[in-house]
Amino acid sequence: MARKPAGMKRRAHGLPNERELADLASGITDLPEQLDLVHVTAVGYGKDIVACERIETRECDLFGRRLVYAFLARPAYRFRDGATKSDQISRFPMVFVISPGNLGTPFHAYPFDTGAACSGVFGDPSNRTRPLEDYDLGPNLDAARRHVSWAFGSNRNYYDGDLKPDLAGTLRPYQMAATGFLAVAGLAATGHNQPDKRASAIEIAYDKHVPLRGNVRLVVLPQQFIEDGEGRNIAFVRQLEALGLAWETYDWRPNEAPDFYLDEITRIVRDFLDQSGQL
Amino acid sequence: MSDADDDTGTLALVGYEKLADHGFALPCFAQAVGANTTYAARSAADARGNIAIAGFDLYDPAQLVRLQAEQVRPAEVGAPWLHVFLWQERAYIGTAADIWSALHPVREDIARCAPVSLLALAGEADLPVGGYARDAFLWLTHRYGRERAIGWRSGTYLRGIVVRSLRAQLGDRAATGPVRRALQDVHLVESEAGLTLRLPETLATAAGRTSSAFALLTKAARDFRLVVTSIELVGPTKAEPQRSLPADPVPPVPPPDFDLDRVRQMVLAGEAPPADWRPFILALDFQETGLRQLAPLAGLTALQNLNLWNTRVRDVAPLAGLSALRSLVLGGAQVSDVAPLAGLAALQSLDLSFTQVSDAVPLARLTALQNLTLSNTQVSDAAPLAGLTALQSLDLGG
Repeated sequence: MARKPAGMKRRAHGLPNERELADLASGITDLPEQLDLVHVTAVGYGKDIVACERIETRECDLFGRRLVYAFLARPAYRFRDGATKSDQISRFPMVFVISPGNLGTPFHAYPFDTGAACSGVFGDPSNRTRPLEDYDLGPNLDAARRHVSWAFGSNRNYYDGDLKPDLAGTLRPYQMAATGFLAVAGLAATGHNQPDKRASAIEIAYDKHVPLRGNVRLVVLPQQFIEDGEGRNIAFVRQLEALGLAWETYDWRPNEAPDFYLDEITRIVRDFLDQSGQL
Repeated sequence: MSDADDDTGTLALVGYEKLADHGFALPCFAQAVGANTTYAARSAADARGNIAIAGFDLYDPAQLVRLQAEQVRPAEVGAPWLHVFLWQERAYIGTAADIWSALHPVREDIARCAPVSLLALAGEADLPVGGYARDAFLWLTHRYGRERAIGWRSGTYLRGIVVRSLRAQLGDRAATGPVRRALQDVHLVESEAGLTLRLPETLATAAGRTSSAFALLTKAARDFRLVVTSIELVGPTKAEPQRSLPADPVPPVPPPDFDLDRVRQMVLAGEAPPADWRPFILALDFQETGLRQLAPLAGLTALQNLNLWNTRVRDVAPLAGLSALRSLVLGGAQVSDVAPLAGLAALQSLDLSFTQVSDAVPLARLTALQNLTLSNTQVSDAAPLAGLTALQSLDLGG
């Protein structure tokens, strides 16, 4: 098997972040509609989340903190690195769509999945450019919206991962973080043969738990959960409804590839965002 | 999922990972009982739609439930897919047909509590599913209300039939980014008039291969006494329909004996379908058949989608009156004169590749055309096409 490329590195202590991407978008004032956030987990963890009525922070080795991770709008979770827990997510995904309005200031916003970037999933393009911190968009949601406008032009194009076609031509050779971002983000484009939507999904992290009530707008789960089985599933659905959470189901079959579930979930979330006027 | 896989060895079905406490679980495989390394199987459908094991991927279950020794089954690439179906804390192992038989004593219980899972199992076992689909719909209506049940029917069940059929026909192309994105834009909208299928143009014109999906949809919709009343073609990434094709003036329900497969057989035998069936015949696929004569199609004025790829058709004159026709595939047929098509004002997609057609003049009046394939024809002068302002894609290759 081919050796996995080394991932992006964190900046050495003591050096200031450059935030080149944030600077490039800083002049944009006409911001697109605020998009919801999407947290994808495995069904087993999802049931725990509903049981304790909140998405709890977890220890993140990369940033040395307890964090809750979500992506702006996109249910991106394609795993290729063999991490144990990712197997469950890709085979049994459950999705929480979160309205960020009451969550306060995020801990950080990055223009891609930082975990995937640092584990080398995006390959060489990110490795030969800048340290991770140079891609930092800044800890606020407006910075994420400006980035959507600068890089994609619209929420709909962002959702599909399609960059503005003329973007590369606007960059100078010395704008290495932006150039590196384009190289990585291209992996998520619709036209890519095997698009990896994490490559341009804006990662938003919070350093506090996210209560479901009042924040989560939609849960997407396998359709087995709407049946009685031995009586426990209906109770789970009723619990969602008691928390005021809308829910939708997707068709889960053991002989479907994980990409099938990803596409189904992507469609369901797109329809939801569309109907709520976000796309 | 890991990239590592093992496509060559014979493994054994040694356990499973639960999704819920009932219904299908994820089968887990290993070299031997007790082995630490486990795999999940990959599937592939053969030409008849039978699902087989296509390979194995490394898979690390969070909670592997190991099978009893007597339940362990050998499994190898190419063998029929092995399922694990859970009911009342018991795991049923085998092909879907095996499990269906084994569940005989408890099937009524499952129908009462988990009809969607029972429907899925019946489908995997290739059984007639109409009754189970209706039962699932009624159960959902009772449990969650009609709106939710209708959402399941059109958004999950019927849409799933269309998408799976399209994926099977598209083969490897279905896994590419643009096609995956287009498949997400397949929608079914249910109204009192019937069902509307919203289909991305890119799929509608992908070798004209939507006919089988449409036929399956029509058949499955009939189980609910629903009729597919129109097809809307949408742009590749647009949510709103670009062109809405008007609903056909059809009565709400087809005759009880209406059968699209029978229509196809009749046409192949040179026989015209009964008059009261014709308003319901919206799509037909004769790809790779020996069809020569199109006369039986002459009265099918509701027909919107016709695939004649690689047939023996020479004379297309019987198509001249098919005013509803939106998509026509003649690629690989023995046709050379397309003058009879000149009046098909609704035609949006036309494939004439690999034919002896040399004159493009008759196409000049097809002003609704958006996609035209003339590759590997004798056409050397495309000037007559200059007035086709709706044209988005023109293939003159070869």
